[in-house]
Amino acid sequence: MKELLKTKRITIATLSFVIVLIIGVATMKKPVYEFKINPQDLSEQLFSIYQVTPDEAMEWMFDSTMAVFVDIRGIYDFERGHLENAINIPIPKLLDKENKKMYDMWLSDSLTVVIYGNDELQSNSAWMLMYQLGYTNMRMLQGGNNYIDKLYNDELGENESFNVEDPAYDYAGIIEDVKLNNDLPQQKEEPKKKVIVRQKKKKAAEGGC
Amino acid sequence: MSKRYILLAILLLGSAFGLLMFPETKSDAKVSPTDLLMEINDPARFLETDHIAQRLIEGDPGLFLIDVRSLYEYEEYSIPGSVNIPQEELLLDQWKDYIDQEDMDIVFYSNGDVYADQAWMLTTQSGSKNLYVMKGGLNEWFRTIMKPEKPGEMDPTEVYDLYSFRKGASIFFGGSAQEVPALNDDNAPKKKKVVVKKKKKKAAEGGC
Repeated sequence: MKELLKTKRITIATLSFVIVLIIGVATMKKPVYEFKINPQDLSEQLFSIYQVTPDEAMEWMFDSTMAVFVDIRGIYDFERGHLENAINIPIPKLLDKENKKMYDMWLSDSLTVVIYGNDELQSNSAWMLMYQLGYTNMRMLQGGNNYIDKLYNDELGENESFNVEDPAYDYAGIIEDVKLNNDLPQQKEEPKKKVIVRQKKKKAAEGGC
Repeated sequence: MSKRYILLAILLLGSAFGLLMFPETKSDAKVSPTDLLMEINDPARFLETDHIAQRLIEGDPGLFLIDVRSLYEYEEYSIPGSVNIPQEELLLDQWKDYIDQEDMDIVFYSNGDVYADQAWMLTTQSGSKNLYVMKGGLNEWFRTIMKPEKPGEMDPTEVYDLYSFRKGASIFFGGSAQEVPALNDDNAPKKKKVVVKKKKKKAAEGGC
């Protein structure tokens, strides 16, 4: 009788142990978004990833089979004006659970997703995050909304580039100029006109007849 | 009775084995995606060029500028006191001690601010703190510090104060304190030089 009771206890203990394990595994929370590309790998391929130019965006805007535009600015900016057919997902809402289905669908359709903000800087970090989460079909818009606006309204400056990484000045040249200026300050000044007064030599009077 | 013991032992062993086989979740990332999103949304990482210039002039030892452009561009021009770590090398072990520390504010810069921001994104994920991005990059640095634009006559005194600070900073960093010339300078009427030739008087030659 004592033996039987002991066995029963052991059985119950073992079973409850296993049940706790099963419950633990079953209720384990899986994060909705996980990193698929680590920073090291991204760092190596960053320069070879082709970003969308404003001209392409102007073309694709009206063709939903080409690309989807995601506006990551705030609602206020979005309401004031946005690209045709763009979807507004402000940065803080980027990783909301309900968006995941949409992202996954775009990815499986291998549809290009163009993330844009007011300028390229605003979209850059959001794009990098999404890319690292495995959404490699996403790109960002160079120049952002500001550039498209100017392009659309024909207000672009003459040499205005959509790539902010293009040097706007000849850095070394400017410094070189200044150095030259500082070393030889006199040379740059307007050369004073020298007035040379030549005294006319009197020619020896040639004799008269 | 012993059959039951064996059964229980198998059950326990089985569950232990099951746990062992449990798919390993890869999480070598030190910052979770949601935490990173919060950092992204915080504009505090952007530093203005004026702020950086001020600290450089004061000789702040807690400021560490990193030029993430290529070595070639760095050698052409770089902000005095900055160090060159091209973006593709940023995460190499040799730079780890520089970037992963807490004593200094590290400011990334490039020609614009996108590459610098990318450098910020890559390094922030490894858990480093005190990382900043120079807003506008070198283009903004030249527009504001090296070639400051003279304010208009109607501008408030703060603008003039800022301008005089920038002018001083410009000289400090070896730039030109000259105003940016107006764009339509070429159209300005040029003074015509009037050359008046004087007739030489001929030496009197003898009569007859």
